[in-house]
Amino acid sequence: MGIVLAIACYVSALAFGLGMCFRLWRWVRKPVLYNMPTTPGPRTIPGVVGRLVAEIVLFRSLFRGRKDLWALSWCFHVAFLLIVLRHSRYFLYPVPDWSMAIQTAGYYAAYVLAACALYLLMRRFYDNQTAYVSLNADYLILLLFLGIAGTGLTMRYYAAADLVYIKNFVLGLLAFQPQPLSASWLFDVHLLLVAALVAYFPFSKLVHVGAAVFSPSRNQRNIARELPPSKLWDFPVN
Amino acid sequence: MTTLGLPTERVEDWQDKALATFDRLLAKNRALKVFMDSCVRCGACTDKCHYYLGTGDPNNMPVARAELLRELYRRVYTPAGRLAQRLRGGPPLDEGMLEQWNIYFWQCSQCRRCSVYCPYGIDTAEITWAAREIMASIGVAPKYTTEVIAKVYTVGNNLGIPPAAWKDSAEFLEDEMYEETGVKVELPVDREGVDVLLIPPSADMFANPDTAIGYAKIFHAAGISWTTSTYASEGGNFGLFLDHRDLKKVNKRMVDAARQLNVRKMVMGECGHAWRAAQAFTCTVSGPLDFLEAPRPQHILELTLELIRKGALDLVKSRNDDIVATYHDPCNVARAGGLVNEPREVLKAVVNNFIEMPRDCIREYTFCCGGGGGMLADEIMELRMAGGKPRADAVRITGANTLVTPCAICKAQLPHVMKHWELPVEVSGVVDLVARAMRLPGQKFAEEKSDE
Repeated sequence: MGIVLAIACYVSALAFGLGMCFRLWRWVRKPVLYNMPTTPGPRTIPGVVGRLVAEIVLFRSLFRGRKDLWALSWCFHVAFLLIVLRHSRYFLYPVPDWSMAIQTAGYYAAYVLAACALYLLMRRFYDNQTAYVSLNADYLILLLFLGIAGTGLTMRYYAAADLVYIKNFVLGLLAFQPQPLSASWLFDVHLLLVAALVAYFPFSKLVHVGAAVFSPSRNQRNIARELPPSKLWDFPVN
Repeated sequence: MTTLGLPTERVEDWQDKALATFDRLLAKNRALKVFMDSCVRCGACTDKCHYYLGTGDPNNMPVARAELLRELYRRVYTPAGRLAQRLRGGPPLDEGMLEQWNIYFWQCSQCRRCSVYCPYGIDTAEITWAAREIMASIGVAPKYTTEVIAKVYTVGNNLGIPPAAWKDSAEFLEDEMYEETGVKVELPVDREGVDVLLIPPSADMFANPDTAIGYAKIFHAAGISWTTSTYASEGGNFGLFLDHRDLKKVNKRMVDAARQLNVRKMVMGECGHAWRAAQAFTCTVSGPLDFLEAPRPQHILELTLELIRKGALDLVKSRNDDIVATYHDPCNVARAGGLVNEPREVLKAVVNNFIEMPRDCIREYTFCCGGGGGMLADEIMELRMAGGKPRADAVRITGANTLVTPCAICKAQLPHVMKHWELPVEVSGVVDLVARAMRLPGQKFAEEKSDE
């Protein structure tokens, strides 16, 4: 089983790395057709940075859009961040103090994430407007998150995996010297689901993480009247 | 449509041609690509669109509208989508999809309200613009838009007012102003070597004479020499919501006129599409504009505010005391044009009674009047009135008797909206009220004359 997991992890990491590079490269490569920041558009670079920070850290536009969705979404994302940071203890040796310090927060975050993911999933059924536009992929991604959170939480409280073996396995992966692993099936499922999510990431709507930075309606300065002519518009019209 | 270089009816290889246009649009527009890739279907935008709120049709939710284009995008550009399409069989763009596009991408006024609330700022107006351009490239576009743009190329403006009629109208308005004020105020046409080329919406010369009088009085009082141009007598750039090539062609006319008439500054009148197109595109599309003074171009209300701050205009606010005003931010002046404070400051300088509509529907959150983006056709009056309901509801809350707005489309749409939703509210331009409050040098008001 350890071999299957090792292969899954490597393939998944490769898919993620190459996929994200490809996705972002395709965005970066395309030119910006014209200046179109949504009002109010900041006129300076610090202004734009401030706007992006407000969007990424506080989900500012979403807050104005739907406050209930904002609460669910923001809690979900913060919990997700805490959980990922908490898992650093499985990747780092020796384990740094900051990693140990957030262990408890990370455990509670798992409940928050599971609850928010469940709520977001239910919302895609009972909120008529969202249900109308939800695609299969939207439901599947949420189910994937619930599966990961579910197996993770169950492992902690009911079938704790052998940490020494797992840490050994993970460090072995990172050093490209895969170690044997015999852990509970819950751990196998947990890791496989994570590998699936990570591999699927660049081919799904999860690339919205990049959109927060690359969206021209958010990252441009309001300087249309000071720009030079653009070659993109250099075509004859007569 | 031949004047536009667009096909007049559906071309034979329309599916291939449409995909080629889509390809071209995606290749040169990062925004479109990002917007195609990053929607998470969160639903934040759903209840923000005035057409959805007015019609209740779920396809009018901005996310649903965008998904109409995104469905084709996935079938052609994403691995999973391509696979699904192969299993489904048939061409990626079929008749049914085209029909949906034709209905719903012409039920979006490209007001961009949804983009304010989207976590990534996905701008549905860009998506609608792209879809319309794809349709136009295969011969599917409403005559209202294509014939109007064609008139700009033949006559110079959207309404089809020939130069002689333009001059007549200008003279008529000069006579009106003389009768009213006793002062000879000019409304110049095609005059060379002046300070300002004013490009108003052509409707101002016929449908909104008070606005035209407003421009004339402001320039006269400030001692600014100016002119209109019969070559570029239209500010409202309809290419803004049809296709990029026509956007450039209409925009270039204005710059050519400015160069030809040897003016120092280009100033846009009270027109939403004019302002959005001119402000966002002129330098990028028709530049360099070094022969003009900054800002290139300027909005008439930016200029008016400068004059008011300098004290160059003699304003008697009490002349507008019969007016209880509220201000409608036109989408393309405010949200898509960045002018939110200037019109308000001008208005507050000439009106004593000013009430704002609720905070969540003014400034960058403004509700569209329901008639922009090529939607001002008589055939879709029902849709226009439905789209105008959110705006009407907000006006009702203020109790105002005058709805003030610097946009010719809004001035054409909103009187119908007010009447349809039973509001006793007049619609007026901003400079109209400036002119009403203005005492020109040498002018005596009727009440002052009777004191002598």
